[in-house]
Amino acid sequence: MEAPWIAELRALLGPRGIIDDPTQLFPYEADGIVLLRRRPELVLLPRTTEQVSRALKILHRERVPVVARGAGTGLSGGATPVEGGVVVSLARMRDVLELDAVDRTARVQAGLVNIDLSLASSKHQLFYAPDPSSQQACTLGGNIAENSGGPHCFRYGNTTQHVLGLVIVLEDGTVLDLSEPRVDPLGYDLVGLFVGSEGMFGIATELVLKLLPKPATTETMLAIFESLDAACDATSDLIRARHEPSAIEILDKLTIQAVEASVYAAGYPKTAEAVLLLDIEGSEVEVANTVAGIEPLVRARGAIEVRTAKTDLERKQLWAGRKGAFGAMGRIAPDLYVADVCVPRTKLRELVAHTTRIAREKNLKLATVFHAGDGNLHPNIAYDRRDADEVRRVLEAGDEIMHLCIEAGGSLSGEHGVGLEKMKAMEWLFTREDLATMCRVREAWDPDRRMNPGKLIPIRACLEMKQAVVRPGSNESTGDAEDAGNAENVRSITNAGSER
Amino acid sequence: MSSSLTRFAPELDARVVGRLRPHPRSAELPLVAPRTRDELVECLRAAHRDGLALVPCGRGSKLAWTQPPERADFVLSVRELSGFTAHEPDDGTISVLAGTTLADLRAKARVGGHWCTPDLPQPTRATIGGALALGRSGSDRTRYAPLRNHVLGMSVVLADGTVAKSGGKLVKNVTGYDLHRLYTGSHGTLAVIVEAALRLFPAPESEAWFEREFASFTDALAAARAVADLPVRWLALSLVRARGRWRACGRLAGKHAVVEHEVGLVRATLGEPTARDGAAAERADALRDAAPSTQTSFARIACRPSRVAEVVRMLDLEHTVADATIEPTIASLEFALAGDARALAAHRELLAKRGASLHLVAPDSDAVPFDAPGPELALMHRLKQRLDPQGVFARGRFVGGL
Ligand SMILES: Cc1cc2nc3c(=O)[nH]c(=O)nc-3n(C[C@H](O)[C@H](O)[C@H](O)COP(=O)(O)OP(=O)(O)OC[C@H]3O[C@@H](n4cnc5c(N)ncnc54)[C@H](O)[C@@H]3O)c2cc1C
Repeated sequence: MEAPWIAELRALLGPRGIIDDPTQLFPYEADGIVLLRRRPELVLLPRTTEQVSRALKILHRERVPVVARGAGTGLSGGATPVEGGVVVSLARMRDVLELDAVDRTARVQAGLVNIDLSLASSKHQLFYAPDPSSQQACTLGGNIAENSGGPHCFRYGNTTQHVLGLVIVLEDGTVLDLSEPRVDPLGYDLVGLFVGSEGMFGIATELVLKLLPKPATTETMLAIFESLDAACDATSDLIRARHEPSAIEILDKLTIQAVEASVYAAGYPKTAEAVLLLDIEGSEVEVANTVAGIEPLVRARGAIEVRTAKTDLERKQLWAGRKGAFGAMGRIAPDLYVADVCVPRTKLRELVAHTTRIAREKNLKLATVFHAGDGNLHPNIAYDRRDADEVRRVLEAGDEIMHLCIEAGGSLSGEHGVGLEKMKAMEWLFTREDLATMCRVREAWDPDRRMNPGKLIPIRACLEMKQAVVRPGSNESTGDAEDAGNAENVRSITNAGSER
Repeated sequence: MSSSLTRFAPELDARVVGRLRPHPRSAELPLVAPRTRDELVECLRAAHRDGLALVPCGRGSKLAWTQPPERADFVLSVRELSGFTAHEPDDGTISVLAGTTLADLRAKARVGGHWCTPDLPQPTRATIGGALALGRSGSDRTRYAPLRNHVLGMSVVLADGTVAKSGGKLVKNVTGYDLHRLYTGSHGTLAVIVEAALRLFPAPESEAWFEREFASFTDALAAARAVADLPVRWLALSLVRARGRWRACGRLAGKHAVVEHEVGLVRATLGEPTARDGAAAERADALRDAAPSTQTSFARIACRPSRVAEVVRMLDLEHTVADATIEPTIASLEFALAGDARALAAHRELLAKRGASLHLVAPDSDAVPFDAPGPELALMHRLKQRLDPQGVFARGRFVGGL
């Protein structure tokens, strides 16, 4: 006999709105980080805000953990239901509800795939700026939860700068309609706070997003280098010289080779040690001016060739190579660990060199492709998850890279979020007080911490907060015992994954 | 001012530097101005321990913009906490203490070859902490979007004296919740902002200023819309009403060649630039410093860009207002209040039906400054409850009694 609450959900969502067959639950065990997995008890596939609200009311009553899921392309274990419970997939909520070409806004359901919004706005000569490389698959709801970036976020900023309003369903099923696009928030900036909250504050069901007019002119430039260091230095120089292209990306040799051997072949020279890929947008004069300023700089740093795309097709090809880079790397090894860290743009060369050294020391295959203009590194380590020792070395390398970034004034994530993967590292970057404050804010949204539990904030920080007694002149609090348990928890999941 | 005048604990008494009204309609209270971050923490711990309530401020120039506090024991200014903790011109970032004036911040950024948003009126009298607490964007919003987009991280002191930071100093970073988005615009009801890291933008090489008078608001709006649609990156674009006339004003800024080209595009609609480079900046600053928001009583309406004309018509602003600044692409309308603020407040419901919100600054009137938020108010109160359960940051000043 099925539990009554499951029967209730089935009645609410219909047979196609619920998955409980264990063989079909497999895809929902993990996101893009396959090392971390746990099977949910149930997957729900609602179609409307109303259904999400009614489902969450039931789950609230039954005290079941809830994890929202977009397309599952996340790269921090965000959508992995570590504590079991129910996954709410937004996959059937992908309508464009309204496209206002005059005020340049779009109202969409959260499960809409990123690229589909730009396609829908294209006929009005508009586009949606944040363009994660996964944009063919990832959902706008997932983008909002992670505050995702993309190559062109160098000019346009991460997702948060493009969100004007939201409809959010809270853990108890309350619908919070913050969808009137406001010039400035009325009261606290709940929309801004929600973006980047990694599914822990509620489920976004509808989004009001900003659209931009397509640039009059776009020039795509490829600078070819004989060393990765030189490409990094050229990027630092561009920033120092205050140039404003719209994207500055670097691909290293291994990435280039993988791309060129794949369906994404872009015509990058296979012998190059690195290429710098730039988009320059704006009026014709603005573009010409920026290009004229950039070219001598990259040449001074040793670019052996600077190409510009002659046709739209060439331009698309150059970008297809970049956007397909992760996919192409499937050729190098069965699995890919995509690190995502940020450093000041003055320290690109230094940090990239460190990652190369770490990979060499640990005998790992490293390919680097990253949002150089934003200081957002993606050292990608190829590995085989069946090799337990290699998995251990990969994770160690990831930790070392994060430590070095923190030392250099950087941070743990530029766009993929903290999720499960980097939770323990939060304590390297933030104090207990910082984390406890995040916890307090989280509990205002979700007092029982039932939405996407076990993510982002090490649980110790929250427990501590409850016990903390603020004593004048003291920053000390108690609660270390839980920490070990929590770290253990994550570790055992990692191992479970690697034993597969 | 002698410290013996207050009844506070020594940590607070020692920092009393004068008296100040937390709102024009409130009585004067002791003004406490800690000189260091540690002293600030001590002050908050003392207030928390002793059950006191306070109103945080920078230089106190915008205290009238909220409602009077329900109960407050003192005003806490961060004006002594000024200066820079980091400046990386080659990375385009700056970290500034909250008591730093906007003028000092801009000067520092300029030395590194940068422009720093927000470009707000009377920068020598306003602090960056105050601008952040109000969530106030400047005249440069047309190009740079709201200030909150460019706050990279913050360090705050919470009601119990806890120092907490969020974000960092990086132009891109998604590590942890964006708590700085919560503090920005929270009007000093959740935390004292101590330090913020901001993103900087390239300083312009050259500038051009356009100012053209039109026979009617409708004509001025049409012209502004036309030039807004050109492939031109306006730094600022507004309709200004003064001495009974409507003008369209625009500021171009950037690289020489680009500005030259843009001037060519704009000329057909707005005529020749009326000022260039230094003179353009001076004219823009003068206009900014005479903005309606510098007057004692003013109103600000925000709506969707397509509804600007409708709102103007509805309130009959075209002929009735004396001073107004309308930013058509942002859809923000600011105008000086001549008559009774309550008459305008009566339009709230009608405005709300058009998705427009109204902020009234009318310290002499008891008209409520803010619109009432909807169901989200409960969540805002929960946030307040979690971060400041005791109400150390005086209640009643912000929306819905926050
Ligand atoms: C090949 C590849 C390339 C990538 N490139 C980029 C890149 O360039 N830039 C970048 O930023 N990221 C990139 N990513 C990472 C990933 O695509 C993004 O994080 C994306 O935003 C995730 O979207 P999703 O729909 O797959 O979300 P999911 O992985 O399903 O979920 C991500 C998180 O969001 C939460 N969530 C999802 N939907 C909602 C909702 N409606 N309401 C509340 N919470 C929700 C989940 O609980 C989870 O915590 C890449 C990933 C891959 C595999």
